[in-house]
Amino acid sequence: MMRPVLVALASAALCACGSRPPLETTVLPWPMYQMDPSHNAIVAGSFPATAWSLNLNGKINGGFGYDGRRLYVPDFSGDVVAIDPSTGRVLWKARGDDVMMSTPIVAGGLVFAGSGTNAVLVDRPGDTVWGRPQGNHWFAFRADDGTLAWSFRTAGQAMPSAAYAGGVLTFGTGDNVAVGLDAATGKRLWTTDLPGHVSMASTAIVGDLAYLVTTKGEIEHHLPDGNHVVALRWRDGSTVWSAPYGNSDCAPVVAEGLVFVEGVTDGVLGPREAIGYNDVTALDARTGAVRWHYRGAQGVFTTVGTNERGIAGTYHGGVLYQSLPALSELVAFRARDGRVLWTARTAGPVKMSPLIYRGNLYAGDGVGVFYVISARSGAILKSLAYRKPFTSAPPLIVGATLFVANTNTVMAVPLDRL
Amino acid sequence: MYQASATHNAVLAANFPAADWARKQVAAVRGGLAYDGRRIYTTLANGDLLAIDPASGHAVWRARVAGAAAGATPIVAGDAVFAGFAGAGNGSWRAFRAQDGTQLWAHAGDARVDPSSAYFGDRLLIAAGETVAALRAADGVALWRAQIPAARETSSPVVRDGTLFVSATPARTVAIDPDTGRTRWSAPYGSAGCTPAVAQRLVFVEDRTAVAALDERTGAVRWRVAIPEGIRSSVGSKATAAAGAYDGGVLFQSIPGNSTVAAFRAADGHVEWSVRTSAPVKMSGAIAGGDLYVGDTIGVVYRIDERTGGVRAALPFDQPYSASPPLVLGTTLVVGDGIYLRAISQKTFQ
Repeated sequence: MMRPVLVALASAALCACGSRPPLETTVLPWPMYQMDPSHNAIVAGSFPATAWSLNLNGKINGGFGYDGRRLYVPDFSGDVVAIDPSTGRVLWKARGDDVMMSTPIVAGGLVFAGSGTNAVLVDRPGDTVWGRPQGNHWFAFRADDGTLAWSFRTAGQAMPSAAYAGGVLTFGTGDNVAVGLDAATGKRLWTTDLPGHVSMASTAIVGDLAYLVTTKGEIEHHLPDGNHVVALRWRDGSTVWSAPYGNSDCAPVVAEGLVFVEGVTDGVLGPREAIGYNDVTALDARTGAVRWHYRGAQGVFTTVGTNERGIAGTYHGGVLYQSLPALSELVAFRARDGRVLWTARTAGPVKMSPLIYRGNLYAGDGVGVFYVISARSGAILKSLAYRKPFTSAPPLIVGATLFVANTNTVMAVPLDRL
Repeated sequence: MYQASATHNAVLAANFPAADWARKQVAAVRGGLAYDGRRIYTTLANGDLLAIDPASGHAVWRARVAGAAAGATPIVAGDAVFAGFAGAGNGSWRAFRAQDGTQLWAHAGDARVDPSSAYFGDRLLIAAGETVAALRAADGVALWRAQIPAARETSSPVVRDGTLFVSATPARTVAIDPDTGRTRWSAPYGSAGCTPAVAQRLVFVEDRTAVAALDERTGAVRWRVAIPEGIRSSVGSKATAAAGAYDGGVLFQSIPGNSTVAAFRAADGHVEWSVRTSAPVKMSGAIAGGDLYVGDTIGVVYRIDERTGGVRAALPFDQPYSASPPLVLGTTLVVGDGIYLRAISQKTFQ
């Protein structure tokens, strides 16, 4: 989807914690993972074809934030790095308190990022906390210079990306709650209990609803109600519906009045746990009713590059483009009824949301191959081999340049080279 | 030689007790493993040659060639360990005392010393670039030197029934008299990434376009199975072909470009089965106890039913498996996994 670059509506100096600055100061808000609930992060405009690469101190698993002036990148060393997209020059680095892998959210002159790692703190039936004893944080950094505006402590990990709407930052955490914060101050507005923890699934917002995906602990996630998609009102946190589908590694895609999620069914014990399958479900965005469901064949889940077993898809032009990591396949589903339009076999599993632009699909896999695939037929048009794996960090296209992370390297690649 | 024999099925030491260990190394395990009944030998990307206690995984001794990289499978013969070392200005073949790692001799090579050598009689047969040569094993003195015209790089040499076989890129496989260096035949098949496997009087080779079986005596093509165009990948290994392994009338062969492992009836190339893996397999497999064991470049080790191709178990690890192939000691699989060397007992796969 082509998006015009938004013009700043107002500008004002940021205030310190406790006061409330205007929120519309950035050129382009970046309100959620991959810009919008379709996850097709295409920013139209005159940004020229640009080539550079930049090594960061840690692996990059989260998506990019982009506000028209800077690229914001989280890494495993605990940094959020603001980069000049024209040159690859580091403009500032802000420090978190743990691994940073949530997609930076940009609104009102602030950059929001959460910290956390995949550590199991408590895992009992009915009581699971992912995180660490001292908790984690959501941070708000000033977009201009990276200084800290506020922080908010979470009891569980704060890895999944938040979503921003109407001055409220909404996110799920490792201690089985969804939280709404006043984005300007970091003050808690509401807390809602969830049926499980949120590990990696970013929040998506459409209209008045926020969509999150939860998973119960290691003991219970195999059960029929081990995973849930939850729709709640982001203004007050009230739950609208909950449906037992998806997986908390996979951010929901919302389009055509449907919520698309990928689920994971794996083995229960020992090495068998690596063998399993993915499924894809489309739910009515207003009610949670199942519109269609697809179950993939049995395959193998892997950990090189990143551990994710379920991956967020991307919607574009009536089609859901979805990786099935257990099978190292990309599948195009007709969004309205789940009909499989094509399947493309990749060298390794794709663990990122793809981009679709001008008839091509762009994605990288866990064995370091970046693909240009016909979005119409699934034919592989080009493959480029890199020496490091691609992770769950999805690409971004701005004007004539594609930005993508390859393990710990951020690359700007002119589209005409692809 | 590479993988102990020309079949490349390195299944050894039937009475070796089951072991499970993982030992982090200072650099990636690049080549294959050698075993002499007492120690495992391997090379690391930083130029180390290691002798390892197979029961515990701990290093017994370490020899380092400063400034070099090592990617070749060590070769063990008598009381000596032979290894090749690559690197600009540091390419060399060296012999070490197996007992304690003391260097016995060095023979200057070039920067492309990546393939393993083969021991035959009293000589070490080596290949690198377009050169194939024989060194006297006792002191490293060159005995003869031959060329593979136009070759950019070569596979490891293997010896079977008094003939040396080596493949090269661009597509070429040659048979050479190991006593004189005279070429017996040359055929336009194979590639440097695939060390030939030899069994049933056939030489099995692979390149990006086909798996082929050549007559051991003449080089004539006995069968050839075309490979659909695949995808190149570089994680784990840049190799576009892998050496096959032969056991019980069957060639077990990875086809990296298509992330597939196939079982070919050795006699005629009939495809008994093929199985898709999560990512390309760039190593030779090991066949033991009715199962094929291989690791792929997305870090999964597979236990595959050698008769049906059914995946019986898949163990994911955090690092890609490379072209470094496994060996089986008793019921324990020993394999390099990035910067780890792992022993995985069969019960772990249950």
